[in-house]
Amino acid sequence: MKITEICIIEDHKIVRDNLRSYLELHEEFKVGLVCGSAEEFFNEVKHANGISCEILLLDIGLPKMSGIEALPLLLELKPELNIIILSSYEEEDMILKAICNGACSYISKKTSLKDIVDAIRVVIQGGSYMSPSIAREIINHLMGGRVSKATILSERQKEILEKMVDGKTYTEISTELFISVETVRSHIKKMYKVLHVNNKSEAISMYLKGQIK
Amino acid sequence: MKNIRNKYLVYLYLKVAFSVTMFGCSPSAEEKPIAEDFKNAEFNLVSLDSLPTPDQTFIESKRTLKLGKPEIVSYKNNKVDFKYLKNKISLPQILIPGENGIIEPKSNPLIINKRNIGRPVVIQATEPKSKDFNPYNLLNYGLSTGLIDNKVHNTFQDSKGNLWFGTYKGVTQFNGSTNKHYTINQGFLDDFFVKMKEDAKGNLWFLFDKEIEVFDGKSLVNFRFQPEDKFLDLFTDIIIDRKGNIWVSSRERGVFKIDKNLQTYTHYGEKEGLSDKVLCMVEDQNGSIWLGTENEGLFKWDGKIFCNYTKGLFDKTVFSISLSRKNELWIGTWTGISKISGDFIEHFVGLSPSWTSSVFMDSNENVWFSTLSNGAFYLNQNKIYNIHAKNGLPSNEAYDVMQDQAGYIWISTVNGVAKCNTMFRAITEEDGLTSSVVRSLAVDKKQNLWIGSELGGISYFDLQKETFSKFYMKDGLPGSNIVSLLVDADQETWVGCYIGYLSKISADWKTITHYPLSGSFLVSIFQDHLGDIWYSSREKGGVFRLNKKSNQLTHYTTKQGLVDDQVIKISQDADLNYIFATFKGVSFLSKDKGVFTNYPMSPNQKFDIVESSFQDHTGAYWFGILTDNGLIRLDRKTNKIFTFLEESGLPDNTVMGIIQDKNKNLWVNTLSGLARISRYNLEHFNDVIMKSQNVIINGFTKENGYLDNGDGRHYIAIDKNGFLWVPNAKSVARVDLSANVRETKNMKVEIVNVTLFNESLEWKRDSTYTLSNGLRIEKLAFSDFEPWTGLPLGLKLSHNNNYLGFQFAAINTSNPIAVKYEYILEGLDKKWSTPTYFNEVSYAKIPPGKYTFKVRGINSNGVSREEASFNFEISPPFWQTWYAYLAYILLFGISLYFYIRFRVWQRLKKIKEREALRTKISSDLHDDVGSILTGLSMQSQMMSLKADEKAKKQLLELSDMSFEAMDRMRDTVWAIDPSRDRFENLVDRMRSFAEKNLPNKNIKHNFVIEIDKPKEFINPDKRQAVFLIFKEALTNILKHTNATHVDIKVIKDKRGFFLYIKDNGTNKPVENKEGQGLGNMRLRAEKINANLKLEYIKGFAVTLSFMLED
Repeated sequence: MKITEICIIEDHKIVRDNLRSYLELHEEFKVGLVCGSAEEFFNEVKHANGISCEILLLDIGLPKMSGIEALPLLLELKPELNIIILSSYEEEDMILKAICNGACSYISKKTSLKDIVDAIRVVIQGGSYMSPSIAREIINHLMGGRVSKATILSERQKEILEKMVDGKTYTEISTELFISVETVRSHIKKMYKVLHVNNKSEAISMYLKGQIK
Repeated sequence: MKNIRNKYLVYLYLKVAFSVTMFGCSPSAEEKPIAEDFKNAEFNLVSLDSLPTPDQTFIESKRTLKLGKPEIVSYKNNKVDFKYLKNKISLPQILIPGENGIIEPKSNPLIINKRNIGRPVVIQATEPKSKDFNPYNLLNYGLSTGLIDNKVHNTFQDSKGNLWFGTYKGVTQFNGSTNKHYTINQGFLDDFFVKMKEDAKGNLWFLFDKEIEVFDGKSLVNFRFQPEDKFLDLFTDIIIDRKGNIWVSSRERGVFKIDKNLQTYTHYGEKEGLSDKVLCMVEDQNGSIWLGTENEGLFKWDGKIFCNYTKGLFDKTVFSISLSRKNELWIGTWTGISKISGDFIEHFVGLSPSWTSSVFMDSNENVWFSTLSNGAFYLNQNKIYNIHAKNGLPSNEAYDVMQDQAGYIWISTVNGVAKCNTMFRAITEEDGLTSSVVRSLAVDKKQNLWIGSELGGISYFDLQKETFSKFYMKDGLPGSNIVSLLVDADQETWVGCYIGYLSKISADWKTITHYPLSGSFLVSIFQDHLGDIWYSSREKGGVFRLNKKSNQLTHYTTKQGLVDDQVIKISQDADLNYIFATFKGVSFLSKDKGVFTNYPMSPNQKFDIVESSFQDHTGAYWFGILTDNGLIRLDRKTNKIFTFLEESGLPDNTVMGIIQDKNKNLWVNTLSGLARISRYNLEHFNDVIMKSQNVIINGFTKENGYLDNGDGRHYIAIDKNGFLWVPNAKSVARVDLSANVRETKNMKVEIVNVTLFNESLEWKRDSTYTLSNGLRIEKLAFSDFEPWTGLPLGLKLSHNNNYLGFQFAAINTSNPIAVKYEYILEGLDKKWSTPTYFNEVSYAKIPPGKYTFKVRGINSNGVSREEASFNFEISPPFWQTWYAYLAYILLFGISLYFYIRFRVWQRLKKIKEREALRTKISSDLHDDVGSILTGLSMQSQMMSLKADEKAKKQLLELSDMSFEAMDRMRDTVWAIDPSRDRFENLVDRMRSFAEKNLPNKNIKHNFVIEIDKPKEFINPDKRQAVFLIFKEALTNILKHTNATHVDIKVIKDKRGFFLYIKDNGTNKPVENKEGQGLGNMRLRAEKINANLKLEYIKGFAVTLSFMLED
């Protein structure tokens, strides 16, 4: 059985100790360096002439150098190192930073110990593990966000946009919807703001591309 | 953050702007109230009934004597005999240029030479002199008064009022205060002055013996005629015709007409039909030029032909010529003058053995002429009077006579110039008075004058016969010191003596009646409306009333209520009240003699020796005070008194006789001269005073020809012919009220000098001056020199040369001493100064700026409209210049900008620090607490591995609780995370929660978002409260309803924020088991001032709304 060496960088002792204890219960794992900070890890690695582990469980909120900052330095030391972020941060920007800096997985600290082990196994097998909530954040980011990258229109705005797509004039739209031309204009103005477009053509284009919810 | 910065910037700006505004404002100065000059009159009433009755006696002891025959002498009045001839004018000889050998006059170019003129020599004028015997009150000017020479043979007055005295040594300009000498030293080419004229532009044309020079105030232009090598002209006269051409006559070469273009001239001589020997010229009303010649008669040039008049002339030599207002031509000839009017010529000759140097008619239609051996003459109503060296003229050799703008006659002689005010004539013992010291006057029905003298008796002046009849003690007078006179209605003449008793001369001059018991020192005699004779005896005290018919004598004293027993004048007013002017006040006795109204002497009403009293036509009373207390006006209707003193324009505070002429002007005799108050001022007295204007008093003193000192106590008289008779110390003055001698209304003032630090400078451009005090005057600049005064135009001085003085002088040759000045420095003074006699003023420490100094004069006609002005500028120091101020503003702006930026940076820093703190707290919470909870959970999981089932379950629950605690903590961290302070963050989180939790219970949801400006900030408290309410609402749906669908709507617009959550669960309200959820929602809503509505309408509906902050 292949034994995978796992290192841990976590500043809280109780988390560190529990992780080590739980992992050591599994014969497939060998717990290597367990450090409370990135600096301590680099120091140990220097003395040891290199990183020997394959998997590194890395916390983000570390004293001095954060896990995000340590990521590229770690990969520089050992590019093939599989770094799994184990953090209580579930914010989109933190997740993206970690992944962009080279983490192969991101696990929330709300994950049970058993699921953490499962995640490690997935990574050993060449996969990438994300906690469900983490994965959702990533998906949302890829989908263009929520309100801030707003493409969400109100019902009335959607109605008006559809009629614009049909080629109706403002007067025709106002007649069909039983509102004044000024109200039509007002909705269209808000709509352009929401969609971040400058004119009718851009709005219609977005609609036709299905970018509008 | 941006909103906060903007608000802060606006606040700071307003604060700074407000401060600057308040600092820059200053209160305006208060105005001073107008002073009151009217005082309340003090008086008391005394009823004669309450006092002892006056003593009554009968004049029994009186003597009637035969009056001696008076000595009768003629009043020569300087009349002279003359030969009068009248001829018809013969037809003239006609000479037409271009015909009969007479050549056409030619036009030739002038030889013009322009050059600068030097500064004149300025001599301060001193007082003119006069001779002892001086019936015409002449004032003589010459070398001793500052003229360049005594030998003045022409006097000219320019349009500004300056007099120019031309001599053979140059010309003197006289403005009343100073003499300025112009000679070859100043640049003139000749000193031998002949005549001068002023053209329409104000240039002065000087005619010298051999030169014609024009002076424009700055430079001289010399005109010469060709050919230069034959330059032998001896010029005789110069005139300027109505077209602007200048005519110059010469003794040997005819006449030169300088065309108004000043480039060419036309010559007229014998060849052109004129004579070569032209002595004088004048333009008549038709525009024809009349030329007087030597021995060739009179020529007239109408522009086309010459007419030569010789026959009928008394003499063919015409020395001088003038035109009267009646279009009569007056010519000066040998021994006299001739008048050409219509077809006739009249001669008034035989007056002088030599020729008449000048002739003209004055504004009173007297014809004046000067002669070279017998002084000056004037013709009036076919009588000729002679002014010569023995009656005041400096010399009999008179060259010229002219009248100035004010009406004074100036007679130029070889020994100076005499100024004559034709208003005044002095009649003295030499003329026929018994004595020159006149004490009393009276006018009889024939308008002849009774004149009482000191130590002289009485002179009866018959104005028609021009004789004096003299009465002395030897003729029956009781005394020689005649201090009072009265001609009563019966034409009997009452006489009061200083030492001596009352007497009466019969109307037929046959007898004189003495009243020995009348008392002596009788200073006033008066006849009332009943015919009673009133007189005051200073020896006996009080006043006496004599009934002429019954001879009853009634004696009034202080016992009967008189204010004082020393009564100086007795009179009656229009209401027939008796007025007694006394040593200690004025008493009014009612017509019925029942009540005395006494105005006693007091500090407020200085009735201290009331010399005279008079009631004018408006009903006001005037009192002359002898003790230097001036002239007092009493208005009995308003009970107000007003006092005039020398400051008001009175010649002297010692006032004597007062009278009103036929034009209702008031005349007042004072110790130093006469004063006149016009009818207008009498009639508008209250208005004039209440408007703080000056009541104009026209003063006549020695400066303007009234040479004697007033005397004669209260006596002053006017005859029917309009002559005012005023007793004086050495004469009786006859004042011709019809004489047109009046100061000009538009008296000009000149600024004659501008000083710096009290020093005069010779103004030169680009110069540096070092004053006597060591101060250097630098950076002085001006554009040009002002003509005539030579003062710098557009003067600019540096900020530290800001001590300027101005000296000014009125052009007033009539009465310069009486001129007052008002001035103002515009830019510094707020109003004109009070009138002052001082003719200079200084201003120290004048701040930078542009200024105009203005000054105007006040003469007897009031304030002149003519103002003199001088503009100058004090440059600011460089730190007060506009560019310096601009730099200050820029500096201030930059400082303000950086200050605001600094404050904003400070504020932002604080905000950032707070945010950093919040971030740190949230980060620390997130890390530390999160890690602890994670550790707790892991520990529980580890422990559960070895625990039994029950413990394991509990441990796993503990682990779940830890996770839940982590979620709660994450909510809290999110709430305080400053990077999540926007509406979009709130909506994201709500949406995330809904998406994460609702599907777990198979509840579908519809999340509608209508957010206007999602990136706007939301208050952290509100953000957290809304999320927690949302979370609670959804938790309730998740836990306690059987809903399958939830509608969620989030709206944010200008109306506010709205959250709407509605599920399709059961209609029954389902309480949260813990019972805290809905309550918490309400509390949270209340905390953020939001409206929360919880309804159960086919499901659980939550509506939350609140207004947005600005």
